[in-house]
This record gives sequence, C-alpha cells and structure tokens, in this order.
Amino acid sequence: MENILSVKNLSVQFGKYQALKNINFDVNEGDYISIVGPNGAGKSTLVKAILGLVDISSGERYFENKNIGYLPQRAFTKDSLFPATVKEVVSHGLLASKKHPKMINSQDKKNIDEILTKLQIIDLKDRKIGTLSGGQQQRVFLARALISNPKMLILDEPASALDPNFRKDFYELLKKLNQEEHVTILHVTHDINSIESCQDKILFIDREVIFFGKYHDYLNSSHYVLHKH
Amino acid sequence: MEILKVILLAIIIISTYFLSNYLLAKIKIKNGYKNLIKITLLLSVLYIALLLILKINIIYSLLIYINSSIYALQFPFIRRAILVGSLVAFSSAFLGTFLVLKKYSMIGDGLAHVSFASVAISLVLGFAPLALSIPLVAIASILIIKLTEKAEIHGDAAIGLISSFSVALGILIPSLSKGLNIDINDYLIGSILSVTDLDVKLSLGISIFVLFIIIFFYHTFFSITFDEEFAKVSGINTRFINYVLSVLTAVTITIGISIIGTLLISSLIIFPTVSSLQISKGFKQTIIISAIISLSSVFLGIFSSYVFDIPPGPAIVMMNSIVFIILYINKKLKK
Repeated sequence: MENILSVKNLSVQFGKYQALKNINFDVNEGDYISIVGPNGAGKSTLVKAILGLVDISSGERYFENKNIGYLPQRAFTKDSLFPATVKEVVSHGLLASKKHPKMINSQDKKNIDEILTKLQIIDLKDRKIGTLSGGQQQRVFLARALISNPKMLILDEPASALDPNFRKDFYELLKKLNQEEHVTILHVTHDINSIESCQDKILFIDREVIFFGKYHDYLNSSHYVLHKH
Repeated sequence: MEILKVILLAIIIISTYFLSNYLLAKIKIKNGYKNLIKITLLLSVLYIALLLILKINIIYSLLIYINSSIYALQFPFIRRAILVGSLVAFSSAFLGTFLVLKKYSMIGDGLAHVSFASVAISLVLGFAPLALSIPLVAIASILIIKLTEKAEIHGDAAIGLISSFSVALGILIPSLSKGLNIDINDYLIGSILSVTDLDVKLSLGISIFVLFIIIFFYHTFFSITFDEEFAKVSGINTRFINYVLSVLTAVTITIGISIIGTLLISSLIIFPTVSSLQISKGFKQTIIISAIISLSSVFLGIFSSYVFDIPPGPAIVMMNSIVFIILYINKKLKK
C-alpha cells in the first residue's frame, strides 16, 4: 500500500512546555487511524502541526499528496448571525485547488449539488449556516472537506458536539467513505466506541507515541487497560 | 381630527405592507432583495403620507428637492463630492462586510483618528492632505495589525492607543505651529466644498484599485472572514491577506475624510453592512445590499447637504441610521 503521510521525529514546543516529543508514524492509503489519548495529550496539536497551523520545533512531516480535507473541532461557527449559505460554505472547500480569481464555475456548482445530495443536506442548500442544527452543520462542514475529492480526511473530534444518534450516523458515514471510496482517514477522537473494525489502526499518544498499531493488538496490550482507567 | 390623521397614516402603512407582501410573493427574486424593495416602498409611502398630514404640498416640495438637486449638479464641487462620495461608499461597503464580520470594525474608527493627525501634519507642512495621509494611515493600519498579532497588547486596546495618540498629535501640531491659519474643522466633520481636483483623481484611481482587488480576491477574503484556520489549511497566506484588507481600509477611509470627516467616516464601514445583515440571506447578498444602501445614503446625504445647507457627513450618517432602524424593526416584527 502506498504511503500517503510520514511523520518523522516531530516535536512541538510552546515556550518551555513540550507539547509533543519525537512523534513517528506512517499513514498508508486507505488507512483509518484513530488518534486517542488523555486530555492535554497533544492530539489536536498533532493534527494542527501536520496541517501547518502550529509551528514545528523539530522533525518533519512529508505528504505524498497535499490534497487533504480538514474538519476542525469547532467547525460550528462562533457567530450564528454569519450570513453565509450552505452553498457558499461548501464552495469555500474548492478554493485550495483553484488559481485566482478562484471563480466557481457551473461544473463546481454541479459538484456541490452532488456532494450535498450524497450527505442528504441538499434541501438546506440556500439556508444560512447559523440556522442549522449541530448535526446538520457538521454535515455541511464534512461536505466542505470532501468537495475537493481529498485523498485524506483529517478530523479533530468532529462529533463531540453531536448527540449520540447523530454521532452514530456520522461514524457510519466516515466508515463508508473509508471502505467504499478509499479515503484515508485520520480521526482524533475521545470516543473509543467509534472504532469498530479491528483492522483500524490506533495511535495512542500522551505527548509522545505510546502505542501505534492495529486496534486488535491494542485491545490485547497493556495500554488498553491503562486507557480504560 | 389629529387622531383621524394618525389612524389614516397607520392604515396606509399597514395596507402598503400587506399589498407589497402580496405582490412581491408573485415575483421570483431572492428574499433579501424582496425585503429591500418592500422597505423602500414603505419608506416612500411614509414620507408622502407625512407630507400630506403636515399639509405640505408634496409635489411642490418633492419638485423643489429634485430641482435643487439637479440644479446642484451643475456646480463642479457638487459633482466632485458626488463622484468621490459614491466611490468611497462603494469601496467601504465592500470592505465593511469583511471587517464587521471579522469583528475588525473598530479598526476603521482607529484609522479615521490617525487620518486626523496626518491631515494636520500635511496642512502644517504644506502638503496636499491626501498625498501624505494615504501612506501614513496605511502604515498605521499595518502597525495596528502587528500589535494585535503579537498578542502583547489586546486588539481593541492597540486600536485605542494608536487612535488617542493620533488625535492628541492632530490637535498639538497645529497649535504649536503658531501663525499658520489652518482650518482642521473641515476635516473633522467633512465638507462638500473641500473636495479638490487632486482628491477626485486620487480617489478615482484608488477606488478602482480597491474594487479590483476585492473582486479578484473575493473568495480569498470570504475564506479568511468565515474560517481563518480552514483558509490557512487551504494554503492561503492569511497574514498577508489581513494586511491587504487593513491597508485597503486605510486608503478608503483617507479618501472619504474630506467629505464625511474623520469623526464619522467609520460609519461608512459599519452602518451599511450592519443594516444589510438584518435582511440578507447569504454573503454575496450582504455585500450587494450594503453597497446599495451605502450608495443611496451618500447620494441622498450629499444632495440634502446642499438643499438644506447642512454638513454632508452627519447627513449621510442620518440617512444610514434611518435605514438601519427600519430594517432592524422589520426584522424584529417578523420574529
């Protein structure tokens, strides 16, 4: 399987505080990796360092393909009055691949309709983003992440704000994307129940890598007992 | 009799409201624009009804207003004021949408104060106010963003520091250079007489530049306004774009001070956008509606300034305030 992302000896330092220390792991095409760890373990920092949102103090990360979809932790806009329609938010996801003036053409509009249909939110197309429920908004942001047909999807606790029913739907959707469309997924989560298949990989960090391997092996390791408590 | 008149007025307004609702339901345009048409209609009916009740001959008074406005157009200074005013109104409405939604609207206010100091400096040194102010205010705008960025000083405090320092400087410099007769007041509240040919040329060039940049980078500006983190992940140099936005604001504000004045110029950034947000349904629509509101307020404000012999800045702000109050009430009534 082709390697899609390599993280080598990555460290992040905030002043005197060492947030991440010598992180090493490889992501292959088609992987579904859940990143877990206690609060303050540096899960979000790791994702942000990979995406270039946080400065890396040493080490490197190397992408085979820069086409990444990103679904942040607080995708929900802080400003519920923000006057952006669902259509406008999703088209925002196309910008990375376009040159200035980054115009949206008719093919893009078709693609937007398609992705909204796929995620069952086509009826909300002209609604203001702030007027939608948490679950609907999360689907819109997923559509924004998927519109550019990314090879890899990076999610930072995307379901933490959702109620349990929505959460289950959301995990199923991710599974489907991974299995049917071979989208590589890197998923920061608090919720160990989101990991169903033993083929999935797990990256357990606490400022450094504690465990990296198949979920099946993780269940039999001492770390699982540690994590459970 | 007085009560009868009030009842009559209420009936007229309410029936216009329902009639316009009924008629607009049949037209196929977006909701935000429908609201704008409905409110314009209501305003005109209210105006005519008021004139009727106050027993002012409406046709006569309207004719006088239109006639004086047309008559005013023959004066070069009015034409200059209208041209510069509408260019500034257009650019600031575009910029305002991004600034207000990014919660940067106070930058406009701070930069206006900086422009006050720079005008004072240029008058003392004998420069054309705009020629020196544009670079000075642009530098101040970058300084504000830099101070905010480093998080050594809170954003609003950084603006407060720079703006009060500038006002102090703007007052001190002319009073220190005794013997010079400088009328800084014109730049405080604005005047349609103070627009020079150089102002027109500068503002024409700069407004076209601002509009071009905004249209060319529209999606990028939208991106950093809506979700700066995602914009960064998409490979946009958010820092650079923030600088661009702030410099464009500085330049637009400086052009506007001769007409609207340093005290009130920031209203052009804030009012049209906030009014537009009361009815708009999307981002693009917010920009278009705020440009319409901004342009019409500046037109009506400048003509009123001539017809009623009042300063243009306050007249423009009054027009903007009326529009905001009506749109706000309309929104509350709908709830």
